[in-house]
Amino acid sequence: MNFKKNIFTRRIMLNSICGIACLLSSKNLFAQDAIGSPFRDRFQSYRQTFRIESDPEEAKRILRNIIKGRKIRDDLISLKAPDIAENGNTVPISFSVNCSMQNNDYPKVVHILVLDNPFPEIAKFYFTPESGEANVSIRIRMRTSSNIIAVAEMSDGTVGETQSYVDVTIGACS
Amino acid sequence: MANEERKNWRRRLRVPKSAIKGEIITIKTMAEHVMEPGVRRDPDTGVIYPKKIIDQVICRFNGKQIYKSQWFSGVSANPFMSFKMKALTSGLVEVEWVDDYGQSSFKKAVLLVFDENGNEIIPIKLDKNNSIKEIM
Repeated sequence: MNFKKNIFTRRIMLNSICGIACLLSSKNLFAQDAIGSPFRDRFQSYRQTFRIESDPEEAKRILRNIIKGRKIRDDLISLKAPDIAENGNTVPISFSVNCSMQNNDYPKVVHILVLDNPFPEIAKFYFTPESGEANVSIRIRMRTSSNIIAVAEMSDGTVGETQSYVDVTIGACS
Repeated sequence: MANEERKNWRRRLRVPKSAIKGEIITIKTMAEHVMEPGVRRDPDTGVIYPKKIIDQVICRFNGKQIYKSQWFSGVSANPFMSFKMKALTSGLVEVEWVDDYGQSSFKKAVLLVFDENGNEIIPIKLDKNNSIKEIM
């Protein structure tokens, strides 16, 4: 009996040591929950966007990639934007492309860029001949006062571009 | 919290009820959405709000895509957009908003197109045997 009792005490000792070790390690794991569990953190780092500083050179690079050295047509696209925007969170703009919406003469894509935003691309619009007129109005965000550029890529490969300067008093964070 | 989440799914679509053939109509859309750009921080904790925006807006007329727009984080919150469409036949206008997470929401409206004599132009023509002949 004495022999058996000795074994039990050893087992209990070992088990308790293991349990305490496990608890200590698990406490370290659970301590991260205060900030956010590792899975959530990984997910957030995938979702969030890191580039916050505006980079006008990259905007120009994007614009160069769209135009690709093609000749710019005049009076193709007209952009309507306010001269002064009080709130940068909602700046109403509208554009219209001057063309007959036939099968060989319609804008395939219209890009809208704001040069001094951290993410200069704002929207792309894809048209078809069924949409009778390429005339769209939308509200955008602007961080600082800068140029808005609208580029129209026609179905026959020609390109039109306009820009207009908007003065923003209170900028948005975008 | 639940109320805020429900807010992100409210959509509005305005299409004129009737039009004359060849008329160019305006379609106005508005979505109630936060359009989180992924840059804003919580002022107390400093945690970045994850990016959540509407990616695409697609307009279909009688099942055929006539207009599409692709948005990035620069579009304002509660985004409003209006665009044009040429009315040739009466049919169903359907607008789809696709989320950043791949979830989409729909809104639809019926457009009636009339002749100058007041006859409705129907997109489906029927044969003598009442079988569908042509869909425009």
